[in-house]
Amino acid sequence: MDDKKNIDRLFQEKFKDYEVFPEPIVWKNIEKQIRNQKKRRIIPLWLRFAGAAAVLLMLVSTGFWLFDQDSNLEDIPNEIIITNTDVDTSADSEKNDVGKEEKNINTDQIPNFKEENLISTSNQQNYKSKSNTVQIGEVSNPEIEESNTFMAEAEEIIATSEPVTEESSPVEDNFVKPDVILEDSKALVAFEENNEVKEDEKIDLLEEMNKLNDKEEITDAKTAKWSVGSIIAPVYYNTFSNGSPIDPSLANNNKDGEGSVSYGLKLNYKISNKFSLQSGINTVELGYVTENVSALLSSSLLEGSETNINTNIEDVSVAAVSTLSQNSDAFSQRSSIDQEGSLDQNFSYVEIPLEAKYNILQKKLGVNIVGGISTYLLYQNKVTINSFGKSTILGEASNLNSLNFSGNLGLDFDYNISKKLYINVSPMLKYQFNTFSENAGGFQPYYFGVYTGLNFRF
Amino acid sequence: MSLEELINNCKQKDNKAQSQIYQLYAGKLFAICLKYSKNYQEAQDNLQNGFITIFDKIEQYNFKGSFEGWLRRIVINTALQTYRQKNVLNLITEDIPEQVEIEIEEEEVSLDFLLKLIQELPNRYRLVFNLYVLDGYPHKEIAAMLDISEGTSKSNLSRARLILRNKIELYQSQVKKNEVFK
Repeated sequence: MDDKKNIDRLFQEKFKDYEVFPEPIVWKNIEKQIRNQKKRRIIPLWLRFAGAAAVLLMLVSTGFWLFDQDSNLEDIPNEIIITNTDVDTSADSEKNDVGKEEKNINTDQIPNFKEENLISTSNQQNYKSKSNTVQIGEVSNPEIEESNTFMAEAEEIIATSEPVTEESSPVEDNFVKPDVILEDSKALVAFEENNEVKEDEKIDLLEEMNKLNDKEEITDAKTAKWSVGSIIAPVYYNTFSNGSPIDPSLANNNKDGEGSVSYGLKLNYKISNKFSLQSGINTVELGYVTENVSALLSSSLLEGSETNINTNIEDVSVAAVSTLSQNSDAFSQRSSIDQEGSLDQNFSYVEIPLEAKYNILQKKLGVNIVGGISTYLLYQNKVTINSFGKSTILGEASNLNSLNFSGNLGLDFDYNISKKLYINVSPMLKYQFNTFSENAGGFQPYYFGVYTGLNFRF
Repeated sequence: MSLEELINNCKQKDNKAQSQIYQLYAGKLFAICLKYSKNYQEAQDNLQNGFITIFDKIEQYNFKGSFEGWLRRIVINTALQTYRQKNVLNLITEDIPEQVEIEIEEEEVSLDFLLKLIQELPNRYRLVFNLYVLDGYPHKEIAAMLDISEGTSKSNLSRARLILRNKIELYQSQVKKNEVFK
């Protein structure tokens, strides 16, 4: 019969495209459950990260411990500076003392002041000249209020000291009025001597390190767990905060980190499949520019001996001023002011990193997390002023630690070319702990580099 | 995004992809649950458990065979699982041995009514009817899935058909009566 139908077909046809959407609560319940499952899976992964973090913490705290030891060493030269500069800050009733200082300077330094004078409106300068010829006031703990009164005092002192200068200086005619309190050069000499001693130590240390590295390479060449490679990295220096390690008055000036290139050797030792330790040795040049620093050059300098600037640095005295208003009178009298000047501070280090590397993915491309510390040995240190289109080396920063540390954190990618060779790319952030021995002015430097190199396993 | 990408993202436990897969297939799969369950609530429970299994096992799906087929099998299994666990698949005397071809008058029967009939079937009859008639499993497989003999499967199917026919005819006669009264 036509209107009779197989019951199976009835159901099949009816349910052929049957779709019913469930209530939203169903998805909510499913979501809840699958999220919970996910959490359970993630925990072990986080535990692994925690392990890596613990190692990093350990390394960093070791760094801090070393840093504490180092800062104790630094205390001795610092005291010398403080005692001398204390005289300056409390000069209010001690003009005589200041006067003595002036005498000192005059007898020792007058020949260098023939052509130009030095002006500083800021009452703390942390750089010193290689040749002890540039004198800039150095005060341990200046406060803004103090500095204002100090300016006024400075002028008084100049007034009182003028006769002394006239009497004792044979080249007085050429000597343009000093507008500045000059630092006791003896302190600088003392500091310089101290620095030289440290430099010797530094060289010894370097040699030691090299010897150690050599030994390591020789003794462990038998195992296949080692790899060695070259590294080259563009590095970009910057600061987390605004302060200035050169002078508190420059704290608010714009600062630009400089890029440079770091290169050296990298040594890697595989402890287990997941963990390896890496060290090495490389150079790193760090620097930044403090912008809108006005330099005042005396007219004699501007007119004449340009050669002195470039060739005979000893005879050049330039001061950096951040805020013109403080002493605008003195400036307007003198000469042209370069508003666009900048102060360039550079320091070069030998870096010896010690880092732990934790593998999170091991395929043809290996992905690792790297954390550790670096030890830095200072070998070059200079402050340069760029003004009127000229670059003049002012001297060295006196508050740089010759030994300092950084905490390093980054990623590391290994790409295997063959069993023996691999390319390594590692973006790293390095935060420096104790670049400055004192008066870092809230300057918190760090640098970022992408370390690239070809490595050889043996 | 292609289905393949979506599945791969699901394998990575991507929440968005999981949600999208659910949106795509929940309708069809819930329909299966409704047919295999004795009521709406149980169907929702089965769908929920089915999807949790799907997202848990999705890594095992290797793109061989249709994805929808894979999903259906999981959901059907989930529905069957509830009865295996509850141990409600008790032996029923096999007094109707052979398949009976049952024919009914073709008249307008609503889908909801048919669904209600299926849900009202005894558990094992319902499962066998669904597996054989609506999802096309042969008796051999059904026997294995439900842990019964092939003969039992056939007999259960025949009983299910009879019950369904009786109910449909009863319904149709009632509809007719109502029409007469009008």
